[in-house]
Amino acid sequence: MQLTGSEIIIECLKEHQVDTVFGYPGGSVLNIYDALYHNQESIKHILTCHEQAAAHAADGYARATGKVGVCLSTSGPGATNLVTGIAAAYMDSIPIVAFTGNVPVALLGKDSFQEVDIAGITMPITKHSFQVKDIKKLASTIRKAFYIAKEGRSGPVLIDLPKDITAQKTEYIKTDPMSINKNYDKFDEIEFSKAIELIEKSKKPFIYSGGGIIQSHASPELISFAEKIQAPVASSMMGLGGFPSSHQLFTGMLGMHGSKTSNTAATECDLLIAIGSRFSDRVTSKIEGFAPKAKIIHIDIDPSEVNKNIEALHSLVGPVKKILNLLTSKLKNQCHQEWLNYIFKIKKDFPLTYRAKGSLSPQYVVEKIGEIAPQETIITTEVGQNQIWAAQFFPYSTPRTFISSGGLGAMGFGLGASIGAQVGCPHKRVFNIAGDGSFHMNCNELATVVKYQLPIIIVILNNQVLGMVRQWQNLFYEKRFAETTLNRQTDIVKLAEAFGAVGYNITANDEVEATLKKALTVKGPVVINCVIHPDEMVFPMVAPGKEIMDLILNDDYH
Amino acid sequence: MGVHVFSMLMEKEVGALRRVTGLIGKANFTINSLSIGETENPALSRMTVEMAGDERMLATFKKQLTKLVDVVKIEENPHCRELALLKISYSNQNQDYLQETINTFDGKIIKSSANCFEVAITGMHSHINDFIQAMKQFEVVELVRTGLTALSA
Repeated sequence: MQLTGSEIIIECLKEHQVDTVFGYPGGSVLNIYDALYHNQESIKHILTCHEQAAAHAADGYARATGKVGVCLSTSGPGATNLVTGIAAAYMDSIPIVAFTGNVPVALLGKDSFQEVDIAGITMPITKHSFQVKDIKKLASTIRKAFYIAKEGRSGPVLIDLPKDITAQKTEYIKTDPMSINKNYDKFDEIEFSKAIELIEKSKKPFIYSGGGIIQSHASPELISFAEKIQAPVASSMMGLGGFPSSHQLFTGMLGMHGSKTSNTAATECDLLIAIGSRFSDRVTSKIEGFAPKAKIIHIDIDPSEVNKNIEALHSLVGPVKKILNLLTSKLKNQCHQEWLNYIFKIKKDFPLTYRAKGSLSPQYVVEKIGEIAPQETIITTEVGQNQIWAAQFFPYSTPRTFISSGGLGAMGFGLGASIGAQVGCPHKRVFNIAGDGSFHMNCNELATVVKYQLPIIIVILNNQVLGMVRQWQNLFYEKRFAETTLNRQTDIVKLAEAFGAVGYNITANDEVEATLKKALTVKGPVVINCVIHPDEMVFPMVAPGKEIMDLILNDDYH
Repeated sequence: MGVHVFSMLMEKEVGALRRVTGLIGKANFTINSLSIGETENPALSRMTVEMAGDERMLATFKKQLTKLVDVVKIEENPHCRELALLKISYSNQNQDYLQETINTFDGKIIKSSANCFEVAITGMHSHINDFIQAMKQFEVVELVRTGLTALSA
């Protein structure tokens, strides 16, 4: 069948069961948009206000659904606007395919209008970037891109499409998508038996789980494994939701804002099993002080993570779901009651606490959302204090319910991501927990949320300052608050209303529950402006350069 | 700061070289030499890179290199040869001695003009180093090395 490049793009999207594209039109993607126009029945297009949000939305969609997210932008500024979103997906290993238009092949390299080398620009922040200069290679390139995005450790792939390629015609033959991760059937038997031996010898095992649990759909396997070896389980921020927070063995987050229990367990354990996690500096802090008494087993699909940040004694490389299944089936039931009692005692003695600074506490707001929100509610976050409070005080119980820019830490991520999550999961509730700094970065996307009447509840923890940076200035810069006092004069309620959303303002804890309940009954988007004290802090905290046992707890500070 | 040589077969695709050098930069290695050229398979080219940097980054770098879509195969410390070209000026007094020294090293005079030889020499890294050392007693007007190139081991 002879099809144009644009029609081939649509057909290849259908081959990969893509039903949603987030994007923004422009000159060089006119042909693709024309093809989308003819295919509205099968592919829904979500129009954002800015391409950055389209990339974040594709990312949020992928995180919430487990499918590949797709975004589309025009050449030049459209393409560069995607960059932050692509980088956020890259740092957190999220599978997205980004399509960009470009000038016709004959005009490439001539500094033509709206021409940038986006394939070059995105090289360090994609698994791979393509530029298609031959129509005959278009379909195979798109198939490869979807394969690369999902194969092994997932991540973003970019396809740059010169305009004439989208108009030219060639033969198209429908093809089934390539199967993913089929090469992971054999494991290193010796490493396996050594890992089993270590686990069975260990008296104080400890599991540090990460985002790989979620990517690999391995939450049930992690639970069985942890129960079988009777080890406490901590999670990196990216891993939240991968292990139920209500589970007795769960000790909370690990690292810079980790719990006393997790950080103590990591320090005291004799065996640390890292699963789908990468020993980020936000987890380890000072490397020499991290798990000093432990032998380390690293389980990950990406061999280049093994021994990158920390030396592992043994490594098992492959999909963590398969590996955990195998390990659990081969291991005998383990028992370490003394170790567990020790951990449970710390967990009981040092719960996460906070003290009211003002009449409305941000932690209380997050706790209340946790109480009131229906099952499987998705929390997206911006970046900073709001993100950590959202990570600490909401009881995540299932995978893909906590969506946050962990690696890149991109302020402005949350609103775009919430759009993607809500579009991908129309039957779930979505809250975007934001700070006033992050909200002001991309609040234009309220127009998108309103346009599609997405019932997202945006909760702004508004301290009128850049809270996390101010916290560092408070603690380490002798309160010299350089440029972190925002004091924006924005009337958030009026702003929400101007965009066509509903806005509420609250200033005290006793307003939270009623306001949240009211918000849940509204059909469209709601913005709740929570006025909090500028000196609210995130605790526990490990100061930069310190060991993770050197935790500043809420009580220490006050 | 160790010196490491990698030789890799790569798809002949736009951007392949940039991706490899990008990773080298990310790992904070400096490139001493890099050569790239065609192979018996027209779809593949071979790159040989000699670089210096922190030993501890090496294993991770190698694994990251393996993940690049365009990189087909990697070898560490392969069998390498190098080509150097030199312009050496001489006087009537030392012309014979220069010619003799060049012959001893199996160098080849590829062009000769009044008071100047253009010399090509190939061999292992150390051989080229020795030759350059030996040439220092004459007047080296210009010197260039191609960098290492390798066959698979």
